[in-house]
Amino acid sequence: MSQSLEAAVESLVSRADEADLDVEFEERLKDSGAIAFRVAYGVLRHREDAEDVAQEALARAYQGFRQMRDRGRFRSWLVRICWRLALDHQRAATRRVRREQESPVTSGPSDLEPAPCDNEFRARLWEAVAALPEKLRLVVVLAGIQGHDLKEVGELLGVPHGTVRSRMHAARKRLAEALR
Amino acid sequence: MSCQRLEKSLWDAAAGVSSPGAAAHLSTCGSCRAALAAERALLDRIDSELQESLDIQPSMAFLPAVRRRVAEVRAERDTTRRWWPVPALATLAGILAVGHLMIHTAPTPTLPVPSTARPAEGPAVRAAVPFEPMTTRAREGAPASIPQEVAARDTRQDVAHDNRLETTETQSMPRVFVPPEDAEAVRRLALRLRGHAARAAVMGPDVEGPFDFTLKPIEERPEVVTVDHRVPWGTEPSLEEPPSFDRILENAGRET
Repeated sequence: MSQSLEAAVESLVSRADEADLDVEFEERLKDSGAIAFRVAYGVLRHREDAEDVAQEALARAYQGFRQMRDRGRFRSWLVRICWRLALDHQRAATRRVRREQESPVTSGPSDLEPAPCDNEFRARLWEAVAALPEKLRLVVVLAGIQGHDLKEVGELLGVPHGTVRSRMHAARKRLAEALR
Repeated sequence: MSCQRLEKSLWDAAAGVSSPGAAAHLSTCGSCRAALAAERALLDRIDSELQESLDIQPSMAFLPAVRRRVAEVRAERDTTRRWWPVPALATLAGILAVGHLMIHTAPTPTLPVPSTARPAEGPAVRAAVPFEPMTTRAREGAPASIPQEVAARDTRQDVAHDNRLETTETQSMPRVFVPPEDAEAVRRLALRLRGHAARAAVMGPDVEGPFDFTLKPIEERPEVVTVDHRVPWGTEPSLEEPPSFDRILENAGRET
């Protein structure tokens, strides 16, 4: 086989691989796009910000998708990326708000402001969730998303079921104490 | 179990983790049953509120936006893959160019060339210029030869040196000349002293005071030795008795 032909074949194979990869990623996107958004929303409580963060998380997931060995773990991987990005976004927004408050110039509504809650109880609940330690907070949000299927939460987090249960127990106890 | 004790474990009971004692007490105590029911209601509300809050769908624009972003990432990756040799080659070319420049612009042997930028040395030296070729007693009577610089010469720089000699001849910087027959010896001395801070004090026959200079090798170009003038004319002589030039040459010759 001549060198040019070999290169052409290699290029075709590479393109086919790329196409396969894109098809597979599209499937993952349809399957996991919503959970990425919800995880971000569970931290940020702001629809547009949550969409931005989820979008960025999915773009990063795409960047690393080729190197991912166990693609069955994609969902759990995406949740972790999204959670981390959402927390970063929240911290950045907190810093920005603090700077704006320190500066004499008054500004408009900040990104940190969550969407208005329907009721006072829900507002207090999310305040209490935000005050939870990160591990407990993640379990609460994922359990909320997954309809309290703790087994699935454990799979998403890659931790044993018992650990998830104990974290959930501790989290609910703290929430109940805060809301009683 | 008393009501007070149950109150402490009420939350556990509400969460479904109750002891047989607590269950027995609850079966008989109406107020504790009511408290337990309230606690359960709170937990249920927490769960349902969380679930409702998070039962939210992204907007219709979300997935198309993600696809656009992914397409951007793909395009960036393809561009990087296609053009990665360009920055790599540019970097390599830059390194080669810098290396080439460094080699070809390495410092040339610098002699104590006078310049207007060194005014401190100027006026005092001017009077002392008539500096004859270095002679020794053994060479007395020999015809004055064409002066050569003390510094070992880089043959590639000869023309430049000669030009410099001509242009500086009328100026006042002290120059050290040796007869041609001594040049090689001085060169050997300089090479011999390579890597050391060699200082030689040379007394010329018509010169009052010492003339200090340092023979300094240029790294990686052992054939080039610069003369770094340190003490201009008219400064205080060294307290140490400088070794005679003959002695230096003699020692250098013996060591080599």
